[in-house]
Amino acid sequence: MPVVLTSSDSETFTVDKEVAERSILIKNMIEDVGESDSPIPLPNVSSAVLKKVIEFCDHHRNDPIQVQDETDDPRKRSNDIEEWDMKFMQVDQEMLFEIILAANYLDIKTLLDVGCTTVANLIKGKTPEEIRKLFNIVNDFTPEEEAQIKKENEWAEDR
Amino acid sequence: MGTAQSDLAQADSIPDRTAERNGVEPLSRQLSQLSLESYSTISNRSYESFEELDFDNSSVGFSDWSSGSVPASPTSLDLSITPAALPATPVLSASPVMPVVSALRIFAALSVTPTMPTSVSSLILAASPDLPSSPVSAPSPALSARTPFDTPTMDISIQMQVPASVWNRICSHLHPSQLARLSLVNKAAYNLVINLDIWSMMYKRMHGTPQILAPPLQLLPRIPDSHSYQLFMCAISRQVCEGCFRRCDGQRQRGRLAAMPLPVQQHFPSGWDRNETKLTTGKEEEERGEGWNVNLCRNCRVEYYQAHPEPIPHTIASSYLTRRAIKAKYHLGDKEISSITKRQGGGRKSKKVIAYHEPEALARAREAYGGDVGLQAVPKSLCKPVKVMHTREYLYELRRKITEHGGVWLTHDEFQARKTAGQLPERVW
Repeated sequence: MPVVLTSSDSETFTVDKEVAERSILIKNMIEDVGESDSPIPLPNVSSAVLKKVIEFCDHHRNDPIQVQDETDDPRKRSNDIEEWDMKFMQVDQEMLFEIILAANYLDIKTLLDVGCTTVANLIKGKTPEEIRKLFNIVNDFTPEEEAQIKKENEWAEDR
Repeated sequence: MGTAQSDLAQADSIPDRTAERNGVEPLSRQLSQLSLESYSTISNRSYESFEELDFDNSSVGFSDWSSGSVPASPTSLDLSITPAALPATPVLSASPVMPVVSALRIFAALSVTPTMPTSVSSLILAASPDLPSSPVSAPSPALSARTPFDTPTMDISIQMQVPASVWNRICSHLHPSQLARLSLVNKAAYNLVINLDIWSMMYKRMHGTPQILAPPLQLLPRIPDSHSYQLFMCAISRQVCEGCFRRCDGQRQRGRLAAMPLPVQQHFPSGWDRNETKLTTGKEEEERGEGWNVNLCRNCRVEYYQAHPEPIPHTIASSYLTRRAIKAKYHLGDKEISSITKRQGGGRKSKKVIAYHEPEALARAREAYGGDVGLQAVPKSLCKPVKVMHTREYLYELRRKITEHGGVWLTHDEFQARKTAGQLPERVW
């Protein structure tokens, strides 16, 4: 039983039910509404992003549904990404954040995890100036504020 | 500063949507908007609408209430950090307003001033959750005056649309040293970092196993709990391993400094080809070099180097040394040296020298001290890092005591400025 999804720019995508149900949001919607041919509107997701998301879900269609392993322990959080996922995430920054937003909206935990790990890997090992450059952020601290925060938040730097 | 603010202001619409999805209470959202807005108001005294706000020290809290808490103000500043979205802490009801106070407090030094600005007290007053009802009813005329100021002029930066819960998730992949660097990026990032619950979690893990928790931290008054934990953890950061969050003291242990957290170069996950990603340019890659450093304790270093073994230098590949030389160079014990492959030297029968295989000795020493960085730290003194830690921990305690008694914690610059202006009170003691 295929499911029809409509993106924000009213492009329709027909996907298998098991692919669509990788998204908890869509799964719940289908459960609530019952099986019907009417398309499911996704007003927060553009067609380009939805295409990527469906590609991801299609690749992971046979993965076991992850049980909630909300360990707070960052030690247990693996920073390694599967090779396919890494290739999948090699997109420009805007698309990367769009995918994360869509994953958050559609409630696809694996995709959200992969996206967040990718962003974390981007931030890792960068100096504040490099992070600003990366995300195109303006530094809104005064020099005094910056010096103070540097002093307070310093993590075991050699002085 | 203005551009960044307007940039952030634009991002309001989408977190709004997400916040509603996540079931965040609208009132708390307003509170957080209010707090951040009044933060910006205070920190930016050149605000156009400032005169209209009828600003004086005693009324800062209320004038900000009236302007900031007008519901559904589309351009109100939301730094996409909703404290309410964070896991519940005992002070959650008051925490949204706390950043204001903390912002005042951040920039602080050592002086107890009985003439503490009244603004702080009025702000604290404003922090009580039952207050919003009274000033909300009267929308301030200042709102119209400040709206053009906040009108976005820049493109929406996509990463600011990402809700706080997602940023928390991203930050959970980062090491504390990297979070400390992230907090220096801008105000939004700073607020994001100080509100993370990872700091209190780290503190709880500090004494080793989850069963033996650290004794409760004495929190700084009038700032969010997480910020207190963050300040404390950063103060003792030299002792804390970023891998296991254990607090090392280095005492009564072989090598002393070698047992402490030491910087270990990290590598990007296998297959993570930075050159291929379109996200960074090749130039940044060159500037940063191969990897970055994370401070790991001895046990974590041993584990890390088991997974990523260090190469044995060619110069010693076939070298043999005497027991004495091995002891001096690799700080190994007699038993360890005895287990190394040895070679009986030539010469006359009575003067046969026993020599030990150097690469093997190096491997043993790396195992004992946690890599080359540990081995190099063995002869070094532990005094300086311990002194630094003690000073910083003492300063945290001092700050807590001073703020608990109603004093202000000033920066060195502020202290000097007040001193020259003659605004410092007489010493009481």
